[in-house]
Amino acid sequence: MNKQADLYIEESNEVYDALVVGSGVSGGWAAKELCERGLKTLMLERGRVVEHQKDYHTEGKGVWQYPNRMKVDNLLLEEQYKIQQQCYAFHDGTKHFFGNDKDLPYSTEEGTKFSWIRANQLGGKSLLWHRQSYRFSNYDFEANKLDGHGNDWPIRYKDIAPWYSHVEKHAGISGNYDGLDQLPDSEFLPPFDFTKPELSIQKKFAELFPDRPMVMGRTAHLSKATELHLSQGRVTCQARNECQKGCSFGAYFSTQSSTLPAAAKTGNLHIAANSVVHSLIYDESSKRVTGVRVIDNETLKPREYYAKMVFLCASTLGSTQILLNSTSKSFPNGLANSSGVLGHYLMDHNYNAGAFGFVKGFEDEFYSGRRPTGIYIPNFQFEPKRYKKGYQRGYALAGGSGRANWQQMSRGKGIGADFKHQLTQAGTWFFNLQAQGEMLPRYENQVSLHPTKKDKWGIPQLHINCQWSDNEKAMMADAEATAKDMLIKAGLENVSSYNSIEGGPPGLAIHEVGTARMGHNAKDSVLNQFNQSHDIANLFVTDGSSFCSSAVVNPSLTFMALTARAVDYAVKEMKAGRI
Amino acid sequence: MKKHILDTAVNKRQFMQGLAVLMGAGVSAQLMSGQALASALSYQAESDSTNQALTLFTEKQMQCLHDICAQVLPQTDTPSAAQLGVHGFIDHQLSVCFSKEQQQQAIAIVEKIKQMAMSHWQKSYVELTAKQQILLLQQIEAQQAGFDEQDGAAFSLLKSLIVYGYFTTEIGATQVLAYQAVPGGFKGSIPYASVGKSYGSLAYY
Repeated sequence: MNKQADLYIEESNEVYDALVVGSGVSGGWAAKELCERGLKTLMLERGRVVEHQKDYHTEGKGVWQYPNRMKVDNLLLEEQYKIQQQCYAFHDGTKHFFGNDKDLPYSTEEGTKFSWIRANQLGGKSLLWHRQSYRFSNYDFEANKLDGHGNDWPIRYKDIAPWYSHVEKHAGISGNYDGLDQLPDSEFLPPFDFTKPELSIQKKFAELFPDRPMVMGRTAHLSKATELHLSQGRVTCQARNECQKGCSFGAYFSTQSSTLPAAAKTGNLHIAANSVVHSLIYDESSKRVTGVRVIDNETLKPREYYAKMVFLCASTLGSTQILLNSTSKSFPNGLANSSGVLGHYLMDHNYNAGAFGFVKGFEDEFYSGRRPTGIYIPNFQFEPKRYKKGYQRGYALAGGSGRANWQQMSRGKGIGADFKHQLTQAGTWFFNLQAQGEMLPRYENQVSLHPTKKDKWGIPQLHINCQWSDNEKAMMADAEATAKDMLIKAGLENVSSYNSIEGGPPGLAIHEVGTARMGHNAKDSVLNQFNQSHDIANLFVTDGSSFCSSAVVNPSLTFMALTARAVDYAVKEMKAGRI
Repeated sequence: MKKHILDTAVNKRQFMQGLAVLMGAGVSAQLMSGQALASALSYQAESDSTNQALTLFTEKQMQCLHDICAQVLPQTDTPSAAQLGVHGFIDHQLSVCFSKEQQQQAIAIVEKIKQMAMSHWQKSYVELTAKQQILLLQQIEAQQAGFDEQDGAAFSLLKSLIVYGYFTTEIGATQVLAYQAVPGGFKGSIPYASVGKSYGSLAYY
């Protein structure tokens, strides 16, 4: 990255061409696209600076080098990470990239729970995501219209397809060209390998369930770095699968490895870290936002930044919280909220059911490396005529195989040398499927500002009221039975299944979307088809809050494409004098 | 974010229950869910951890735990769990990452082992012959000779800690097992014989 010396700023009275609030997947893309179009851009990040490579201090450490061998001290969990510890990726090597629950309180409606996973530092959740990358299909964009849930997406697949291609080439997405309408292909780097047991199960599934093809999981890892990636200082993935500690190879997509260097290279980027956005500044006479009010993360002192245009990319709940807290004469219930839907239609994905079993044979087979992805069976109930009885929409099944290891066999019976030897050997092959279900958009699933409680920056806390509906419950019951049936029919042994929806509240898929949705109509949506506020022409919101439905696939690739598309539109509008 | 294979606590718990079906053992997810408040003392693996300050066990219990470690994972062509200081690790790990109930469970089974050695052979556990020490541990697993289901569960917890402590030492992870710090890419099919053992390098522990 050049221009490093003046990359980071603190105070500034300059009126930037654009402000980008947030530095995660969406914020990084907004900054890159704005800067590359020549706009002087200021990126605001509420947390500290995390420098690529330099600040990945747990990367490459052996498990024995951690005082608690990767487990986290109970006292710390209790005091600071009550919620964050629920994330599968939370451990002693990653905890510094998670938010501190003590400083980031929120409330939930009585009788409901929501696990809000936070990553407040430069790079945001782009450092922590599992990097699964899938395009929405046209079926996904049509679903609301066809079955009547939520509002109609104001875009269709053809509108976003070129932008998927645009972001994929830069980010680097591995996968196989599968030619499926329900899961459109990306611009792919080569797919990761299947294991032999997976190939055998894939073949059986193809015979037994021809409508449920099993493909290799598509992921933002450089399975084979291109010239473009090498020129970005990124190399081929080494299959460590320790991505959330940080990857100095830059072999995956994160803000630090991919979008930030591209933005910085233009010389148009500045970053103000430790800038907790309190609210947007709105000018009643021009009906434009003119900047943001910020509270310093550390000193708690207020300051302001100004720009001709604002991109909110502060995460689904982060962006909505900022809008709700930006009240004015014209917008007493939150900025850009003339429709009244701001905060409503919160969704996540439902990961609460699955099945697993053991695979006979293949004792001579093994794998080398830790694959950063798994197998994937795309949603096979992707249009109304394929819906099952009892619920609407569908789910994907993700999973993978492996050989049981010493940790999983640690409670087996035996004392002495034979037991020890057994633990040093790879055990039986296993294979699992986990449902990833769509959650319907429902008005009742809402976030609002708490009437009295505030955080340490003086910002009203978010109050979350979100629950699974009967539709999600029926879907998980079916997903459990279906996954189990598939494994049994494919010949797996000791097949077990689970459905944890009663103890598994929304939030933990970390795919929260909705709450500032797009739409055709200013009366029932916050944003138009270009993620531009219906009410305020120079305000764009391009993160997950803009979603009209959750679909089934992981959302981050769509954050990228929507953001790049919105910037392209915004800059054209600006040049035409309409912003 | 994508969770697959064993990435989520739920999945892992379910998987361990699946292993219980396969292996007939009382497998649970206790290793995953330590909750208690406890002091945080950094543990540094040493060749003999009996000399370091104890946080949970008494010195007598520690000597007994040393021998339990030595019998569960004995010295072969690789060191024993006791030689790698796993008893010291257990004292530390239980006090920092496990619940009060689990701590008490672990202490109770060590105490019971001491008592049963005395009542069977009128000797302390550390004075028993290797055969006697092994027999006693086998009796816990078989829930015989005065050991009940509760003892079996407590020993299972202790054993999971011995195994975890052993294979997460540098020697355990890198010499006893195959360790790939930087695998250089993923290959979905290689002959098992080319590695010949399980991996000590995991994405998630």
